[in-house]
Amino acid sequence: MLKYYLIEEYRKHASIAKKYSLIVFPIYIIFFVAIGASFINDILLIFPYQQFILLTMLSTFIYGFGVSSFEFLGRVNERGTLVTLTFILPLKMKKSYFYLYLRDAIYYTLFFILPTMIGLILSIPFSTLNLLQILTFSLSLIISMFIGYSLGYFSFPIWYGNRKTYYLLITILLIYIILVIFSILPFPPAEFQIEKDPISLLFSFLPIILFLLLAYILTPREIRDVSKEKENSLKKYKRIFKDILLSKEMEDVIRGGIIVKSLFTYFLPMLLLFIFIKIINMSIGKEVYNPLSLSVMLSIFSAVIYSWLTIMEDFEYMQTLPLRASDVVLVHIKAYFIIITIISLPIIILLNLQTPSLLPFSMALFYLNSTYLLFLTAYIAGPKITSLLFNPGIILRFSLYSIVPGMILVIGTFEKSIYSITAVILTATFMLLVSYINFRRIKKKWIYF
Amino acid sequence: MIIVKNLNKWYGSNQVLKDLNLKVDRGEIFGLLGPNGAGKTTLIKILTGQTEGQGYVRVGGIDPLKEPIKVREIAGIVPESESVPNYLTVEEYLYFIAELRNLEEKSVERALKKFSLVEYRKNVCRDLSKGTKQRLMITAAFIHKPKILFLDEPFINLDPLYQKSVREEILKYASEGNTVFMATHIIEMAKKMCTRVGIIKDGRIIAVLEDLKNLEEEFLREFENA
Repeated sequence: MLKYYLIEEYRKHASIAKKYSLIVFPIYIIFFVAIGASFINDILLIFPYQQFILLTMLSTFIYGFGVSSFEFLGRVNERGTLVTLTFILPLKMKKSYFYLYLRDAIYYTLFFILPTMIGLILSIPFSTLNLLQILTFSLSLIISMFIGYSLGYFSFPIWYGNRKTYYLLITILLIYIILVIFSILPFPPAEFQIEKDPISLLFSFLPIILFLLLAYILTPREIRDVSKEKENSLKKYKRIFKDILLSKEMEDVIRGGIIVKSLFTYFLPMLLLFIFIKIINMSIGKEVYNPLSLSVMLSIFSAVIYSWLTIMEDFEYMQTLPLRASDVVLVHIKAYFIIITIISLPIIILLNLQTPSLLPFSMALFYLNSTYLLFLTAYIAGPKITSLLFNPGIILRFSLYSIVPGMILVIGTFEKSIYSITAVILTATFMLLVSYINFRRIKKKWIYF
Repeated sequence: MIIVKNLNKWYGSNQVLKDLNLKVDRGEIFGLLGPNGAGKTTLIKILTGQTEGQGYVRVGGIDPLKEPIKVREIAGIVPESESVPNYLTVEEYLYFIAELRNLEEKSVERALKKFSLVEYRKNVCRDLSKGTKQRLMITAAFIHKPKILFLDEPFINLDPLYQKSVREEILKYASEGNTVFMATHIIEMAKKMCTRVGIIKDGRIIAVLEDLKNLEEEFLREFENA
């Protein structure tokens, strides 16, 4: 059966992007990893080895947990897939979801870990790395990723079984990550990579096996939210938001648990990033990252929330109503701004507690970059963005348009000089102009769903 | 009410509609019969502005290729698959459509009663049975009293009792001067309800039948001759 799950995923992406596109993303990774690894000695001069390894392994773990959660809590609602049609197949639900886990583990290993390994191997002539080091590092990466996948898989029956237990799980995860960052608790794959200790290797496999077993055992026979009768809340939302489409979107967000689901794809990596930046500042002995640059970086993560919004609903019934695809895209954008304001604004205020005079600028930069990235994503990808990563045209355009202005904004806030202020003002003007153009073009481009 | 001239549609290199011509008058119940993959759903999607096509198309005087939203304002559509919102209740979904179409709130209550959905009003749409989802979609298509109704296999999941009441509702609706365009596999249903039947094969209308007494035989004959 696994073969069919793999074929289904391949055809899904190949139907949206072109077949050859599927190799483009791994090529990007090979290229960037090879370049980065060639400068590894320079990187390790300013970044202590242990912190570098911890950052890499923990980020990979969180990434694995994020994509797995996105798959199990989000994409399983897509119609007509093997998982949603399991009830008509001679297949147990437990097995079906286990195949889904294996499918993603194989896909993401092929798309991320394998290209990383190839990139590292290609860098051998230009760096001080040897094959054994690369294989050990790759093994640590794979284990970190698999702990994340398995935890995402395990969190899925918890989410469907009892929401309070799920929130408890997320809280424990958050506390654990903080304790790992402050070296109070170990993260076994990072320990293995640093110490080359076989016991750490053994301890790295334990959570994978444990989460897998628990996930398999706890997966229910039938996946269905407990159906309860619900009062008409849409009227209440309509009174608040006035706009019926936005009211419906916010009801979907609340009932679909999007704010909670986005915690681990937005809030967790963001928290991790801030703590590590603090560590970098301490290592270098200079506060290069200030509240302004952090606000810009915060906005980069916020684009993830848009992808959650695009998978909440099936569009087919919407096509029967007097609605354009662009109406739905624009309402996703409105909901996105409401959500990021709820989640991010308190963080920006916290960042500026010691520098209240910078708060308006932090907010302006945060909303500027969020607006720019979101309008860009929405214009390029439209109402469905799950296959964005596999379309080379989309990746290329997104990379070109997003990385350069973002970097100028971040670097421009490192120093107070006439040059940096001019660079930030010019970049901000460019971003506002492009955002306006993209906003106008969304309406023209996205007519059909 | 519906005029189609030389309509073509490609999905990549696959041509699904080939120089299709059709005319449906006001007040008609026009049936579209054809096997799977003949182009029935694609034709409905073009007529209701859900996808593009090449050719001349008018629905109630509106060009759905240029004004896709306008045609959906005057039309009611029941799609082929039972697609409903994931998180709204039955009542909320109808309220959502009523607001979107600028209807009075009373229209929700009327629709719930008319299509026997009162007992399901607080249920989340995606948790409904297939048949009840189909009923909800039919209700959603009727709620704004459209001038033209597009139905894609509307009876497929309905129980016989409900089939009968929907059939009666459609006949009453057409008798008030409204138009119905219905794609179906069920020859018996087309015979009972339609004023004319078009037969579609490989993206072309191969015949339009007015005498429906021997529809099954006519359908098979036309199909074999084409």
